Amino acid sequence: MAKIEPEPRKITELETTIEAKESHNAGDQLKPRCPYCGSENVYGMSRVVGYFSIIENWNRSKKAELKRRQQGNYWFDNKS
Amino acid sequence: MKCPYCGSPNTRVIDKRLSEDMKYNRRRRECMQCKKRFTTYERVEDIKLTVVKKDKRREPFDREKIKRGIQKACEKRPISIEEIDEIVDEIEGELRQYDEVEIDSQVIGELIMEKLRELDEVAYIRFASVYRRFTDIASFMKELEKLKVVKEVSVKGHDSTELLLMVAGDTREEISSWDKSKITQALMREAGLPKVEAEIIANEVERKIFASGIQTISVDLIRSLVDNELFVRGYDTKLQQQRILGIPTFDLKQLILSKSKENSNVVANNPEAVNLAIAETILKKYALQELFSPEVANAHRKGRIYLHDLGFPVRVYCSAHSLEYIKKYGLKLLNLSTISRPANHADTLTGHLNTFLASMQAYYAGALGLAYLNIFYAPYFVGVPYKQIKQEAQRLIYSCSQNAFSRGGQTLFVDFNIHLGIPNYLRDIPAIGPGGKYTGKTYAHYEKEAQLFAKALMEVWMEGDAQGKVFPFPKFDLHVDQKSFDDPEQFKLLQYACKVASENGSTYFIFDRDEVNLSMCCRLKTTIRDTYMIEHPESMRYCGFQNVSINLPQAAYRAGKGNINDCISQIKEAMDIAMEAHLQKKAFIHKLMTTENGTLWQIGKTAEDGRPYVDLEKATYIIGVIGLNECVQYLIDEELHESEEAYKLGLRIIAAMNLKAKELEKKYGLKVTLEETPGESAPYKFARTDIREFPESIHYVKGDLDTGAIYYSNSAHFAAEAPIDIIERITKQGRFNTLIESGSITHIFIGEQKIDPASILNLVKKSWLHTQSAQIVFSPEFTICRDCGKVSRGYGRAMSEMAQ
Repeated sequence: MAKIEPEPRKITELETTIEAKESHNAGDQLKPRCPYCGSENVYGMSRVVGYFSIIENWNRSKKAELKRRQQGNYWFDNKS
Repeated sequence: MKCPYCGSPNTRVIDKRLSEDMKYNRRRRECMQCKKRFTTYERVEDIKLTVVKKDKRREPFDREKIKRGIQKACEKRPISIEEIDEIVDEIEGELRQYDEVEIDSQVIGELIMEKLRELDEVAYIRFASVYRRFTDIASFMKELEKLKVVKEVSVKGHDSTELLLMVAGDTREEISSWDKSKITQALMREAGLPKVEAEIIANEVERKIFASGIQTISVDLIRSLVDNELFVRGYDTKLQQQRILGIPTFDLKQLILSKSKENSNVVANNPEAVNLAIAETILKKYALQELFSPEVANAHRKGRIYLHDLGFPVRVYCSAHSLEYIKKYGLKLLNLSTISRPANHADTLTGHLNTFLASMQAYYAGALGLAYLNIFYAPYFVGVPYKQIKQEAQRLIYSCSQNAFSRGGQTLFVDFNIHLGIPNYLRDIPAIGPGGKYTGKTYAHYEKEAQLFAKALMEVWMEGDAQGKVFPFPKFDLHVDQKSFDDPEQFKLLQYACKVASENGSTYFIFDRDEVNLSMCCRLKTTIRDTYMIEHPESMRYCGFQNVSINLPQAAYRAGKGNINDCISQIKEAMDIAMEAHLQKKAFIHKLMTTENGTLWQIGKTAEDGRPYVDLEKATYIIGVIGLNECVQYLIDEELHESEEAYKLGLRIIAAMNLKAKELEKKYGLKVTLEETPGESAPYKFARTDIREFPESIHYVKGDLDTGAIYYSNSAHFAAEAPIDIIERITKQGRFNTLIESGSITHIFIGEQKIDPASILNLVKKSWLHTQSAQIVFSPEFTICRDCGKVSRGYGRAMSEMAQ
């Protein structure tokens, strides 16, 4: 019989505390706020993979990817 | 014999039974006069039994006395007089088997307790409490505790006598007495142990429990003790069957109190989401233990492969459905107790569609695509004013986007395939109209209505919801081909679709380079080769059976730096394991689909159109691609976008995978294709497992190492942050698309920018003409304010000044 290995600890489901810290740190770069009324009581929406969803609900690796997307070079208005 | 009730001598025998030991005849009689029934016994006149009481007094054995005692204990319990008579018979029979003529009253007492214990818990306790003469309630309780096993089953009745027994006072727990034979039976049934060995283990467990002096024991603890015994005795292979698939209390609390982020489509935590999380946690364990072989399960645990939707082992993956099926046959589903006839009106059809999708979602872990939606609605809109068509478009999109009740209260994962005109292959197909009847015309006649409905749907998608937010679902899958540019009517609509993309990014531009394409999910598509389906659109459906993704970077680490050929061998090996996973799940699902009234009977039985709703032999078995960029980067130290050599190596690896998929297809006679895995959780899991097992991965994973938010680049995509021109990205990623047949997408992440419709149209045209891209989509970011309710572009960085 093959050796049964323990399932790696599932961080996704139990990450609330770390998550809270993380978003605090990341707050310096990402400070989402409403340009109309200045409120920080906002949430984001974009495509997580192939569909739109609420950014706050993304897992942290997807949030990390979002930062990289923002550094990418997807459009220049003077081109195309 | 005289009736004991009325004294009439007219009685008749209605039942006669010989006792088991053949020592007496038992007759059930009925009085002809008063109709009452009684029992008589005929036995050999034997030696009189004498009962020796506690104080050594002797008295003749009295059957009736035993019966009275038992009756008292059984008062208000669901026990018939017959059952009591039977016990008394058994007791008397057993006593008479003893060689003694004098019997200790204690022996009788124990015998009664034994019988009652088998018959009824409550009656037993009542009898025992009297018989053992408990002096006070405390000693009674103590005795109870000693005998009890706390067992988690729900209490059915609310009989006051039952409540008395609930020592712990917990309504969710019922108390039952210690019964060693239950262990023996469980070991024989669940672990397949021979009786003798099962008894030895049960004895040992019992000895340990009693020796420990423990007062209350849970079933869980007994299970653990049994597991331990099995383990000590070398029965480790029997352990699996015995193991409990459950959740530690701490984890369960977390699931209830926090929120899983495996799937961001679960918008808010809710009781259904909690249920989903619990079910998924347990079913994942079940799938890894029972459904898949240890080799497959370990490959998943080690992150060599990723079994998508592992928490849904009793469902297939994703699907495309036909509105024609609902139009023609109405609604007739196993989970619905009522049946609807085919719809006469568009609004009824929308209702049917919503119910159909919500019901069907139960059978699919993933997406539900709908082919030719605007075309198949068209016959309902002949002569209907545009205002009304728009109203229907609103009803359809809103109701589909708000159908959030299955799979943990998620919105249905629905794709609407929209066409700008009637494709050639549908032009001569007879159209189905109101009432499920053929209209006598072909779909070519409904082009105008199909275009009007497409326009109306696009307007709704562009307007967004009441707040102006984009609709995540249903997705707007727009099919683009040469006609979209050449036909003036179609071109006008295409321009409008670009306007929708400009406003909020809703439009998915799907390039129909093959003749017939069905789309669903994040990017899945299939080419229809079955001409029957095209001629009978009600049978046009698709099933993506399962997706198993390959961790390409790990294959590279296993091969070692620079070892390209070894890396490709590693990938092929992983694909073999992925195929095993497909075959194992296929065998399992087949069983569920073909068992009458079994779990998946709805999709396994012959459907209304004479074909099974899902045909596993025709389904697509998907192998996903994750982390090509980091795989190449590890092998030759350059990312896909950094050099032509890196890009070519990427192409070579994907070509090898495509070839391997073709080999598997031939070998097993099943459709096996590659997919650019959307990868919401898989790239995260792969990166996490690799960091532990392959320390060199630390230089290649993307994301934030210090917080553990790491990942690999999705599918065969270039790095999200790669500083390359968008045309180059679409062109280069597009070359992979022909090799990745089950679907690909190139994202254009535009952040806070609003691209004007003309530029979008220009890019769409270039992509169609000059690349092999399968699909492009513009993905903006939005910020939604909870205070003022306004939606603005961008999220968190250089927020657009011109939000208006």
